[in-house]
Amino acid sequence: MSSSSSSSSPSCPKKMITLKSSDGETFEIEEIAALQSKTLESMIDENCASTPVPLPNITGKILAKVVEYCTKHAEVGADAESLRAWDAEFVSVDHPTLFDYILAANFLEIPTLLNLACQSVADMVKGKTPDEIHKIFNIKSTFTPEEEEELRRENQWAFD
Amino acid sequence: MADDNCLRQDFEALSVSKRLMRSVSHKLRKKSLKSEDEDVNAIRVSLRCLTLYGRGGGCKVGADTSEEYGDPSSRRRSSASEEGRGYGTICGTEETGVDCFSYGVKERFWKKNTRKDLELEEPTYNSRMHIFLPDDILEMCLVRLPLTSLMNARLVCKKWRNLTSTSRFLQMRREGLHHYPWLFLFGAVKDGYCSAEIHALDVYQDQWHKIEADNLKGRFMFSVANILEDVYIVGGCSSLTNFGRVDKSSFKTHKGALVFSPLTKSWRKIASMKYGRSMPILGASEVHPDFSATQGHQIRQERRFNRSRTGGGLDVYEDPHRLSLRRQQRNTFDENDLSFSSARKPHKLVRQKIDQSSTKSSRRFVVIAVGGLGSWDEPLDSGEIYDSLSNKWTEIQKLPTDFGIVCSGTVCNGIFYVYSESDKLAGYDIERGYWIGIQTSPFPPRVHEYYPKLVSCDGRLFMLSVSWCEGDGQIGRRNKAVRKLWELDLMYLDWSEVSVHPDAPMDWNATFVADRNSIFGVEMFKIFGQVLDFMTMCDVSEKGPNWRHISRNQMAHELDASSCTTKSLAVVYL
Repeated sequence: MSSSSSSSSPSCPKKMITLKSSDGETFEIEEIAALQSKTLESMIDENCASTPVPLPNITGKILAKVVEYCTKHAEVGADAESLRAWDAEFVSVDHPTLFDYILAANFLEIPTLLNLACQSVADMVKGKTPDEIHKIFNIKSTFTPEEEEELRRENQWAFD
Repeated sequence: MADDNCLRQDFEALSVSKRLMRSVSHKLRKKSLKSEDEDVNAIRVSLRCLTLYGRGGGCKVGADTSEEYGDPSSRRRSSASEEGRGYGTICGTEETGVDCFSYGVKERFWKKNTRKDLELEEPTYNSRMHIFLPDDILEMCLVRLPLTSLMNARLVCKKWRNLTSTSRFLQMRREGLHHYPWLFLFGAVKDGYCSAEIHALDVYQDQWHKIEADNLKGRFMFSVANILEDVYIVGGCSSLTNFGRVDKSSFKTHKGALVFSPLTKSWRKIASMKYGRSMPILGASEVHPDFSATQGHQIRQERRFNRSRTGGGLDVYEDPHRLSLRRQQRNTFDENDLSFSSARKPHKLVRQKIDQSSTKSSRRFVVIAVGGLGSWDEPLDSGEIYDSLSNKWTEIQKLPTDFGIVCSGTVCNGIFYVYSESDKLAGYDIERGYWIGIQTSPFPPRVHEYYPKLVSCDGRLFMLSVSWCEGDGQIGRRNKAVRKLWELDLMYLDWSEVSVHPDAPMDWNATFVADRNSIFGVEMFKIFGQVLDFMTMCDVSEKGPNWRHISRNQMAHELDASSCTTKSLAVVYL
């Protein structure tokens, strides 16, 4: 089975592959959409994708969304503007979900989703003070007050 | 126990799901809190092996890399203490992985969650959850931050600081082009003194910053040029009688040069020029690591190229047609070189061939300083080239005496183009080491006192020139001047108008710089008793292209009018 997208006649069903999440849910995805994942692409190339592909790192909830993303991005004729809006909507989720997207995109090697999600995280950090970042990500500073003061001085450009 | 099984499955799955966190917090609340440090370190080990297992060895340490960066608390010490406590791994070493998690190991794992993490495990999950993002993922997110946000990120915690300070991270940032332009304005004068401050404009966030520059104390009328993330500061004057004041009654002219790196806020001295110069015309460029600095230069060093010379080895004033032919010849030799899309780029130098992924230290740069004023304020006609590899300045061939005083210059595609006050254009071939006279279509007629400025970006050569759009400058005639952006077609040597600058040209010393696709300009002038500043930019890749104001009257109000004369500008993408 080659991975080249076949010009399927109407009677030929679209090639699907099945993915299995860590919690046992299965999802079907068009092979064409799955090609956005480098991991899945190489599996398809090596003919390992005929049985359900187990993805022990990804829960059903996240996998469903990833499948949705790949399917959407495999559509032809979508105009850039509306796709961008769709993407923005896609990443308007809570932090844990967003991070799960990143982990899933990283594992499955989906560069577009990875880029989108990482940029979202960067946007969250952009323009925030360290304290605000602490709150958002719930990170405690591991600096002593002296170290922090020293760093601030190092980083600081403005004296106003 | 249901909880244990639950946990085990989750470990095997290795996804940080809500279910997992719930059982964690449940477990934790049952345990008493012990002291932090030793536990933390032991758990780092466990957590790390977890992550490695789950990610198929692809990822680095999961939660914490401070140990990798020489964090004082060492693993070994903590393991020893762990044994002392009597925690044994039922299933052998810690490296054996997930499927043989003993209760003890699990417990140790979750003990990692020190007091701080306990707070996190409260049931408000949304944004208040501490997520275990692997470091390489975190890097991928942080690399996209603009500079000021990156500086703030560095203050968040040690891990973030360490992750964002490695040279690899900075390289990633450079390669991913997660850069935004910063304008550095030098030469500000306050109350008669060189303010030794650099005014930096974060174009993206429209914020001005002041950088203390003690190294520039007392120095004025120097020139600046940028390469990558460094700004070269060359020449200048200092008052001898009133140090620090902008005073040319008794002054010395500098031969010295400095390099300022805004990113690291560091300064270093480089070799001094042969001649002291103030306001030299600078051109800076990256060169191929094999570039031979002395090849063309020593041979031609003292020879002034002469118009009357015919034939011979020197390429003197050529007519444009032959120039193009020569370029075509070069093209055929360079067939094997990369990125040769058009005859516009005849040189194999610079960007095309240089391996962008090489570290900064292995890259090689040249800075050319031409003209300027000497120790007695006399116009100089000599030029020197600086090679970053040898840290030396070498004199280059002089321009012919009839070329005139050089008033502007820029490097484009391996040629340092210079424009003279007598409206002549010449180009210094950096690699081959000689000047070429360039005959173009007639220069746009210009207003006499306004010398055109050359800038280059994206492999294209531009000129900003002020001309009369109404009247002709004669007294009594309604005169209106306008500043226009022109481009020189490097193949046919034709000037064509590209766009009109929106501001009336009030500043005869308006300064322009360019990098990547954008041209930036600063105009400063005193009107109605106030010094005003206007920063503009133009993206030449856009249709139009149009100029837009990026900052207006935000920084010059405290400055003296003489800043208009002493100012110089550099753009650095940071």
